[in-house]
Amino acid sequence: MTMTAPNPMSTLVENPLRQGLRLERTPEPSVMVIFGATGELTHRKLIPALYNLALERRLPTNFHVVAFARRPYTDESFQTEAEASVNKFSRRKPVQPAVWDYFGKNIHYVQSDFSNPDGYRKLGELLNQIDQEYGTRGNRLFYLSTNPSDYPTIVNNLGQAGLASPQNPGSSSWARVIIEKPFGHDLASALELNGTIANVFRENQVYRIDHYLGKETVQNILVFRFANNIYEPLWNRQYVDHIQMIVSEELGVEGRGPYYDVSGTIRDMLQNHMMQLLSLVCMEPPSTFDANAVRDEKTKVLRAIQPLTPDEVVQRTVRGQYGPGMIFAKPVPGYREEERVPPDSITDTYVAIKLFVDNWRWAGVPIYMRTGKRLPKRTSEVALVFKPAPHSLFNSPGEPPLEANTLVMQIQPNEGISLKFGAKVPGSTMNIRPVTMDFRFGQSFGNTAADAYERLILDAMLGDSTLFARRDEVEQAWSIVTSILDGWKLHMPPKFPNYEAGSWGPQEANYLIERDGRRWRRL
Amino acid sequence: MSETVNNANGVKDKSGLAAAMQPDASSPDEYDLVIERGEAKAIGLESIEKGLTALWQAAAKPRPGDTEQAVTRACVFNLVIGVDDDEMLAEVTETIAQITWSYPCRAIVLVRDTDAVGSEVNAYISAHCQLPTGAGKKVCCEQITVVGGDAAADSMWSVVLPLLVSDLPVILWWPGDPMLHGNLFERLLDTADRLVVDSRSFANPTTTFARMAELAQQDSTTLTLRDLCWARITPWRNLMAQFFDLPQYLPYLRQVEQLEIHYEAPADNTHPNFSEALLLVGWLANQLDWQPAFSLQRRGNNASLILNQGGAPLTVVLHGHNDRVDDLGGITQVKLIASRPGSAPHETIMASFTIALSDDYEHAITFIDEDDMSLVSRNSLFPRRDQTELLCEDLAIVRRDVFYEAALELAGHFSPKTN
Repeated sequence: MTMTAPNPMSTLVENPLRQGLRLERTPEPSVMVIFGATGELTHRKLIPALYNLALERRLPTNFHVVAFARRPYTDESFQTEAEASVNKFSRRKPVQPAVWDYFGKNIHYVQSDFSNPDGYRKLGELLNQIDQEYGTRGNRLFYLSTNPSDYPTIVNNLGQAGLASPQNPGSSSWARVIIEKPFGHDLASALELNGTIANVFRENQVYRIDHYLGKETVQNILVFRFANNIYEPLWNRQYVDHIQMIVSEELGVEGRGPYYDVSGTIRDMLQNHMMQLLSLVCMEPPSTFDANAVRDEKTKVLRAIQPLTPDEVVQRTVRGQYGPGMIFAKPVPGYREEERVPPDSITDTYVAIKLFVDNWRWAGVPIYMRTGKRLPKRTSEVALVFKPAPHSLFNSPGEPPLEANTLVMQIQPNEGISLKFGAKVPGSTMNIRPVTMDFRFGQSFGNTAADAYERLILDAMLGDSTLFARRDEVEQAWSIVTSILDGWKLHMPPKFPNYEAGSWGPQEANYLIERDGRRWRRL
Repeated sequence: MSETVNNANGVKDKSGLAAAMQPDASSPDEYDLVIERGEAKAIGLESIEKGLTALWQAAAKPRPGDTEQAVTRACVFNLVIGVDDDEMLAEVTETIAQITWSYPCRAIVLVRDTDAVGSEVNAYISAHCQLPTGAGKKVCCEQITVVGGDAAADSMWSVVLPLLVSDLPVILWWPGDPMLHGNLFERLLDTADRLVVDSRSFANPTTTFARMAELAQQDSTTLTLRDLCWARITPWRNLMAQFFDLPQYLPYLRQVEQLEIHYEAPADNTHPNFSEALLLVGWLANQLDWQPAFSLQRRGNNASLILNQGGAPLTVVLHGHNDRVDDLGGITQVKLIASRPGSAPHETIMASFTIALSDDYEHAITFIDEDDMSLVSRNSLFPRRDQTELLCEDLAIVRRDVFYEAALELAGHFSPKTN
């Protein structure tokens, strides 16, 4: 077979010299506008991510950043703060002066209130000027890194200022918007927000970011499942007994009390990160690795999960809130003693839930999910626990059953995949012990994984929305979570606090799984 | 036990060759030195796998101060490397050590020993270990160095084949001028999934390009060709492409009048290396549908070439400069002169698109002159990358690069004539 490089000169509509260079995933010249540019996310994540991309030459030379926020800064004073942020938070710190010389000087600052149309007029003028001087061709990526309550104001003002549409109609120029979670606080508010956005941007311009999807190990779930043929025959109700998912943190609310107290763990973790993981693990193979094909299949999984009735909420969910306890031998306060948290708060800091995906592949397979703060350690894992062998050859009467085969996808830390199976202990007797076959990203590929924000920002610049949540996905996830929230409203909350900081959660969570004859995995 | 046969880098010292040829009769402690000091250990050819097993058993032993269980042996591919001398061996050994963290592999280095008499072949094993940044096990990979004289060249492949780790890709890296023929190379190529060369080391670039283009045709379903020189010119290609991201300049690509490339040449005018420049010309020729018309005419360090652009001649001029002896062959400036029709009848507007390295060689300055007016000038970062960085960049790309292969084929047609 002979492969030839295409020759593009017959139609000189696109730049023929770009062909082949696209392999290296370099986006087109563009400007990224960050709303809420003086906030923590910008300084901890966005600016370091952009700098790292610049350092690795993943950004086009013609790339500019416009920071848009209320506080008074000049271009120079904001550049100085941005450089300090890179020095503090970049995985590639300290700043390399040569890289900063070229990247830092392309950062501009626009001071304005988000509701002031004059600010958007100034922004438009600056963007036009950058287009003309630096050839950024009207390509704009707006990043909403603000309080979610500001999203409608910003989106509407972008629309009114004419900035939400491609600037050069008929050309390939683009305008895209990245929106940070939370996308609403229940189904009704998510529908309203999506409606507001849809009035200004088409869905293919909207990139709802969930940084979990930018993690290499989360993307590897797709590769593991669909690039390898040997797991697919096992990946269903015939062989899988149940699925366990955990996202745990040893941290408390870390000064985010006011935000956390209105969101709780169910909105902060379960509605987004865990529902994304669930849909990736349970989805059918997409026909192509195309953004909509992948997201169609993910959405089908969420549609197959019926919202819970109030009775099911009682039976299949457990909420918890941590009291004082010990983490790594240090005493830590309870949630109600945290800074700026009401002393009688009934907000959940822990949720355990049992769900079913009612489709051909997963009917009857329970999916147990738990997530919480102030648990013993930070970990994110998905485990498929397989059914036992149909006939036991090696168990003597009275011996405990052999441990189930378990396939664990470790999202963080120690990213990797392990398979637990039984092996004979060397010796004259037939003793069987569980052993694991481990794959660790760090050992096979080195510690080179990019930060999730680097990957996702680059994808948005390249117009690839595969790893971003689509409107219907978000709304479907909210319909499940809202059914739980509604069920909780009908019942008195448990007596909080109901678990000790540093423990694995309330006792009721153990009952949730143990009454089905199963146990949480020991982590 | 053998005498010391290694320098501090674990590289074989010829003075120890005789001692190194002793059959393996090692005590386990000897392997500790290989792990702890990074030394290479002489070993009999038939004992290499056995020696590696002993090496990893030694590595697995906990050591004073270890907080974790010793090391993890990792391997994502076989890296077979051919080198011509001890200096090159030292360089590739250093590169292998550096890539371990990102690409742990089994490295098999074949060394041509011009002093060797007869067909004897000797082998050495060593380990490269990297500590992770946080807590965790040390990741180690192994290097097998096989040394033989010219008389042994035909048989050295038979040492390599049994040492390949099963089911893993084989990358054949030839940092010097590749033979591209002969029993050793052809046998190795039969097993390789990828051939990595550096065309800066080619003595006769156009001939070797043409031969590589043939290889691409013959083995197109299995063999991927890579060239570190192609990675070197990627920033040039990127900057050149960026000029034409601006739609108003796109029409100039239909009528290029002249292409000038400045590069680093040797002071004595004897062996200028045009590889980088020719690959850049080959890339532009493929993308813009230029055909070779006349051969490369060389005058000392300068050269010219005529291409056919839709029936019109296009001149390519290569200018050699002698500013940096450590970067011979490296491009320092590219200037593309082109025209387009103006709005008035018979009006022609000329423009030039220039990329030039700054004096510090760390930045590139790009500028456009249109109709005698200087329009756009930009300064962008242009970091120099060493061999390890280039190799890592290359290893990260899995797929075939058909654009490189097309550029290679065209560059193979620019055979030089010396005046």
